[in-house]
Amino acid sequence: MKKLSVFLVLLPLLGQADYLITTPDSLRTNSADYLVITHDSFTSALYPLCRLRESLGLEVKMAELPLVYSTFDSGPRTDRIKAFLRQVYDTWPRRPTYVLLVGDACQDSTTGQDFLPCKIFPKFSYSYYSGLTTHSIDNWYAQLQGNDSIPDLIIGRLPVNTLPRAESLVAKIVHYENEPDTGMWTRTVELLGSTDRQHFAEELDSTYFQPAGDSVYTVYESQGNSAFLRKKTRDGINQGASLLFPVNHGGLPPAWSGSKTLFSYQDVDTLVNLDRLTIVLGQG
Amino acid sequence: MNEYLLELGKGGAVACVAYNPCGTETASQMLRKEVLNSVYLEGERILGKAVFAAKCSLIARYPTQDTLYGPAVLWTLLGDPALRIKRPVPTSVSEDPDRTPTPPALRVSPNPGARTASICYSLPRSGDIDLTLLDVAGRTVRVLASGPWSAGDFRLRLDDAGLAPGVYLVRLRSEGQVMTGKVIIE
Repeated sequence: MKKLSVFLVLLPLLGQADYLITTPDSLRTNSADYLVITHDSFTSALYPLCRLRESLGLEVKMAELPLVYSTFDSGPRTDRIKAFLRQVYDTWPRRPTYVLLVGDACQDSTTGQDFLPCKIFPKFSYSYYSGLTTHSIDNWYAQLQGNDSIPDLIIGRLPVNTLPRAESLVAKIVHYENEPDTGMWTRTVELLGSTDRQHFAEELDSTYFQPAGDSVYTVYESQGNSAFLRKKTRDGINQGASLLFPVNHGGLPPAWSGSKTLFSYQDVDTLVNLDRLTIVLGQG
Repeated sequence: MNEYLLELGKGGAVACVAYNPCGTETASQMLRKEVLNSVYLEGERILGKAVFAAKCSLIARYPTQDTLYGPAVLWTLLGDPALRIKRPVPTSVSEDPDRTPTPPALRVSPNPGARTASICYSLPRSGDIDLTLLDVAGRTVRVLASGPWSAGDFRLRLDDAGLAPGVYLVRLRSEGQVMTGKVIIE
């Protein structure tokens, strides 16, 4: 009986090990459609997502940063991750379409919050909010062919900084994908518009959403005062919107705003949209 | 704001696409229209592919105007790049109930600098395809394959004869999905 218990406990772990790359040689030569590069604090949270992607026909591999750093051991951490991705892109017989980075980034690496660093570059020529002089980009990791900035892999990041947050975000993704596509909310789009940008929100509505027969929920600055607008934005998210377009300005503390606030970070905790998770196509 | 929405334990957002940290209004409008072109007009359901196509398009079209290519470089997907957008599939690209989950695939290699590039594409099922070489303005340069196509793995050699040096995009449309690859002619 004891042996059987041990076997049953080990069984899930054996399955998990299939995704994780554990040797330098396996980093250099492997194959995948979907590659996860993660800070080792979050690895255990990612197996449900790996299983989901595998169940959809993708070959999944996962690499932890300590092995990446020790295998590609020249230069700063960003360069080591990039060296690994170059190896993947140039030599893996089946190279990934998708790369998922897991871990938040922070420009100050002494804070303990820089789990998976971003490449930092001097700013572009246009003016930056708050006088920022640099920007951090993940696109750089996907620039693997030629000297241009066009990405060669489809890259995304889960900006998590604790294991519970990683588990929570993965659970949301898996739940979102496993729920059937039913309900009017999947055909609903929420548009937020500051007065100076409302015209663009209206253009999106007439060009894409109306012809598709989608339901559009608008929150325009002209409709009321900040308290009304914040409540209306919140109500729209809670009712469910497949896509959310903030067509407005940003702010600090974090907010979507024009001359009035349309939605504040303080409103986030009041959301109860549960299974009706939205995708934000934003700007700031 | 976006990270607050992602962090919310239940509810909020499942993915956010945003600048990191700042872009321009013109580029923001162009990027979002490109994403909607993919999702609403071409039936793309993978969020990362729609974002990828938008970024590629802007960066390729405006390689020296950093007010346009810069924001495209900065536009960052916070979330799973393979996330399937929860939207009913339009009737024009309705799904076959027997369809297996394996998606079509496109790969361009070796490049850069080679006299020829290999374009490999996999079609899990037979159906209409459109494989086109585009210039950076999105104009068709060559139609490489078009019409009904059988399922299988295919390789095509792209001869650069007649092509001016520069960056080109290879676009495969199949099963309501759009895939894009890059070719550099030197």
